[in-house]
Amino acid sequence: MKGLLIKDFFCLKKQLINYGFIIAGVIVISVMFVLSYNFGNIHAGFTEMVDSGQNTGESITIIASNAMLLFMLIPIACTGDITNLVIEDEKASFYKVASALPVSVGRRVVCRFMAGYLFIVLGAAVDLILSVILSSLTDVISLEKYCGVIITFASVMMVYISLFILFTYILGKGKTTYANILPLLIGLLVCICVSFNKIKAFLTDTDDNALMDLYNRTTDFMFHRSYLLLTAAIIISGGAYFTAVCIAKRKRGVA
Amino acid sequence: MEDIANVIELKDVSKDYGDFKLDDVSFSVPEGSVCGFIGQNGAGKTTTIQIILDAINRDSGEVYVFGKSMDKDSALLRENIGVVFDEMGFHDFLNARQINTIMKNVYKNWNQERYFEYLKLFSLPTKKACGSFSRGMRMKLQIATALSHNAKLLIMDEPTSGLDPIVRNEMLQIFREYVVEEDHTILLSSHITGDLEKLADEVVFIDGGKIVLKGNKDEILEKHGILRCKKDELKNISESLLVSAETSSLGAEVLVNDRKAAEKLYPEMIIEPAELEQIMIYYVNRAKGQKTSERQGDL
Repeated sequence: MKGLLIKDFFCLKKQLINYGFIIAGVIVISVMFVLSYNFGNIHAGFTEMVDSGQNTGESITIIASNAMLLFMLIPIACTGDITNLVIEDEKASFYKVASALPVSVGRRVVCRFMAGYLFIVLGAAVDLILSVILSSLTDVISLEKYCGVIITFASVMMVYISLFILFTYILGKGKTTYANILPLLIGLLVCICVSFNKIKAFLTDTDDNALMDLYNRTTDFMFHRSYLLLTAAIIISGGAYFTAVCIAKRKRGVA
Repeated sequence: MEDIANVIELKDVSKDYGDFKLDDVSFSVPEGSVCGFIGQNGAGKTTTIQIILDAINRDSGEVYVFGKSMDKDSALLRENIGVVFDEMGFHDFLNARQINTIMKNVYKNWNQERYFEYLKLFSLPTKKACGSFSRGMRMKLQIATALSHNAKLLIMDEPTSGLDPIVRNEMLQIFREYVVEEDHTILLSSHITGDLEKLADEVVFIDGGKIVLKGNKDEILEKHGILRCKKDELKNISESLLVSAETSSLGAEVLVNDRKAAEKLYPEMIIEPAELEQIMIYYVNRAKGQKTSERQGDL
């Protein structure tokens, strides 16, 4: 199994190197942003906006925290992208080699899930470093809240990867694009269902603060109740894994 | 007489794809032998090999490798099987060194020294991406990988197709050296019967998903013969001897399944030993329902 994980690492090595530059860039830009927010031009601009009454201090903090959350999202989204892994395996017809190796179908599926999760852990580790830097430079978001954000993003990626892997087994070879899109569509549908009332209120103009309220609830959830999402992600991943193993055993010939 | 164990044993194996069916395939490969698995493209060779490896599910039948059912410990049994496919299967960007790193973490018995010895023997670069390798080099890389974990059984699916005669000959030499050790066995699928005539001890011939012929290669070659006669003499050939025939303006060519009996029955006719390729063609013609077919040109 270790050998297959090493193979996965080789597959994504080039991608990781490319993303390494992006992540390094994100870290540099986020630090520059925070420094500018505290002492530089952004600070001056925001102060002027507050002084002239164009914006409140609270909304300025929201803008700043939004930017920081975006910085946090990029590393974990980059490392968690294992689409290329499946594409490369299909391109090389690696499933043939895999079927001849002394590794059971179940272990091959475990391996695929593990590879996905390892890359999420890698992204989460980068996020943790970034959050330590950002929280030490500014008090917009505390380290504890950052950790909540990391857990939220990691959980979302975990669900996405689990469903992506599951769909690669369900749909079979050559359908990676669909396997990629379906979890995103499911995610979008869940988001719409969960916040349906707020979206409806916003669209029908019955509640002017509907979107702001939705935003506040979402961030509050990320900061304080991300463990719920993690629990859900673990359950979904478990379900996806067992279903994937069943399908893979039935179909065989999987990488 | 010494009882020779079968390394591979298939009993009534069936697999239905709808448009193609592997139908009650049964054969065995004795330990220490080279078994040539022949048949035209699409005859069911690859499907059978995939079933042996437990890479695809079968509908019915039993598969035993090293005397053990593949239903139970297929992953464990594959530790002793080296497999060579018609296509490489490794990612183009991987180099031989990286493949070594992967395989030494997959196989318990991976022999790194032997792997690099093979790479040296085959003049394969270790740091060059295998995507840039020629077909022959890719095949050699697969063979080096298959032979470097002390596999007792080597299963090869069309390993020599598309290779030039020099490389093919080199490969056959490697396979010969591999089977020098008594407990080493080869199942070699190919439609290039010339290679198998040089190497195989046993022959299994599959066509349309059914086993048409199986047994000792020398016995099969000894038994079959090509009988040449005039067109009008064709009707005199016994139905039980005739596999199928080809006719042309110059006469008829018949594959007979008992050369000695045919020589006795038809002393006036010329009967020559048949080659595996001819045997394959005539049996395929018979399977197509063409007991007698017209050939364009001279015989």
